Amino acid sequence: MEAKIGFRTATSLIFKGVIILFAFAIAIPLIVILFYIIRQGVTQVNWTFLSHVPAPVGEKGGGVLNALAGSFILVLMSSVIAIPVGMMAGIYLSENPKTRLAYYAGLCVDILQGVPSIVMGIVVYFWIVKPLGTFSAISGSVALAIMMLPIIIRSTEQTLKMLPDSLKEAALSLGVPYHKVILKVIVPCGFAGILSGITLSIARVIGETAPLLFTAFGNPYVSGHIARPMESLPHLIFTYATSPYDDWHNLAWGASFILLMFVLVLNIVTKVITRKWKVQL
Amino acid sequence: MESTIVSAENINAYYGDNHAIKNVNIKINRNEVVAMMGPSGCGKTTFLRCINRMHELIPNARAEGVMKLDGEDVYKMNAIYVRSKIGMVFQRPNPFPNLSIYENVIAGYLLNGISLPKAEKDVIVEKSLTSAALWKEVKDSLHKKGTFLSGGQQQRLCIARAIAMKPEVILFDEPTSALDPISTSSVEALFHELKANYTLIIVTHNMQQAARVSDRTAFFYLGELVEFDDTKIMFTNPKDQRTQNYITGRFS
Amino acid sequence: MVIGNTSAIAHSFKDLIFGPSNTMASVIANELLEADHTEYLSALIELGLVLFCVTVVINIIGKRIVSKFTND
Repeated sequence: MEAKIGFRTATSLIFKGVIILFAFAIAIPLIVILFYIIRQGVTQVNWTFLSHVPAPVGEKGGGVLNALAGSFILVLMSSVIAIPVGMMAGIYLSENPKTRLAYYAGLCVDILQGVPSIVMGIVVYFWIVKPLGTFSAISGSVALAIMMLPIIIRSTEQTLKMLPDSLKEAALSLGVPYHKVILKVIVPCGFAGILSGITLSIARVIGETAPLLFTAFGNPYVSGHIARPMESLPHLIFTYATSPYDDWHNLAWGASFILLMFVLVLNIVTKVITRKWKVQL
Repeated sequence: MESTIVSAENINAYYGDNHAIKNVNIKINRNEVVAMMGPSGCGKTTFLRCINRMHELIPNARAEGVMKLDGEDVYKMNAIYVRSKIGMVFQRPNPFPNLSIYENVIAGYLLNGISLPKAEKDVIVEKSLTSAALWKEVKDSLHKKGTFLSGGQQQRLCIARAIAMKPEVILFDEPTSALDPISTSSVEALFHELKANYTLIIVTHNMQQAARVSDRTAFFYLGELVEFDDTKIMFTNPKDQRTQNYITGRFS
Repeated sequence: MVIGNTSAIAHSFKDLIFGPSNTMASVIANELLEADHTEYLSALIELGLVLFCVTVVINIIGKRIVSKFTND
């Protein structure tokens, strides 16, 4: 009997060790990537890098301003499209979970989440780029917005579903009409969860290249015109990293570093904000 | 001014095919405290919710009959208007967690977008909190969120919130069943004071509470209103055998 | 970017794992903007359709598996 217990304790310890080992093993690729990009990229970033557009091959003093501005505008526009639509869809799904529309809409959201981003690019290419006749920032934003939608919808729905019904009852019993109950009580109480879903979706699309290959295309200059091509950080990294020039490789490393830092900061800021604004139920 | 404020005529309520309230007729007078008691599932909460049309929030629920508030049939009025005229306090205290105590009290106005001058708002808040016996305890922390309040204090905040809308009738759905004994007695003491200005209808699971606080008591059983009379008579000399069985504890 | 952009069928095990090749997504990404005649374009879009259908099928299978184990 004692021998058996000894054997089982030993097996338990071995498995515990294996699990801890694998947990660390998972962290290793992440840490290696982080360190490598930081080491290669941090030397590239200086004021010139942030304030100039890429220079022709061979010339010094290029930068990634066009990509920075472009990414900012693209993400801003796609947020403007995706956030209202996504939140409203999420509110509908959480308030009417048993209807047929909710079932099929949920199915579509799940499928949309799994659609490859390149397919999204093809579709928007034929919807917007061809009719418009030119690559444009607006088509890129539409493609990114469609990619943001499933994340925003699901996180809004999950957050609102977790709120107790007593909140709605309290507001309705005061004589508040239904739409005001949703807008002024339910959504504000779920704000932290909804916001974290939004920032998660932004962190996802800011690093997407495939949908922008045929929509926003790329632009060597800083452009504010939404019906013209626009550069973005991941697209610049893709183009310059696959080019044969060392100067451009360096630009790609610098841009990778900036993108990485931005996503990191976004995630941290999200955690801080949601903790601060989390409503104590 | 007529003394009947709530009059229910032939009220029948259904959840789908389930006939939950069977032909209830009851007249409630101004400024009285009416307790509704009965075993679990007897329909007392369903009936309470039929008064301010909160039963409509449950899918498949419908009510038939005439429910008059001050002479007007509430089923023919706008539901939202009805609910603003009748206050309700629930079993679990439910102050709005995203609003401060001050904002919670005037939530009925705030959420409806009714803007009042600050002086008027201050007066409403102070009066309501005083009537709910909460003013002294929170007057220095009006702008904090109410999460630090105890269960009894939160329930009194909910009562203040209901009072702030200046209703004529306040409905209570087992208001003290989630509270400890001390908070329960402070809320019960409140009923006695609120009576002067409001009509209170209280659903309670606790017979002793019904006996303590109410002027008249209604006994519901299996969806029917079995007996409705002065509290003293109900508990000492009830007319119906079922009432007698209930108060002697033959079933609960 | 790293796959090699070579549409070739592997003839040996070494080529299968270590040789340059292609995925549906990389082919579309590289060749869509250079497709000059309609058949070429249509073929690439059909690749997109196949990719889409694969993900839909896998999604539905996944959902079925989850619902089997959740018993909601």
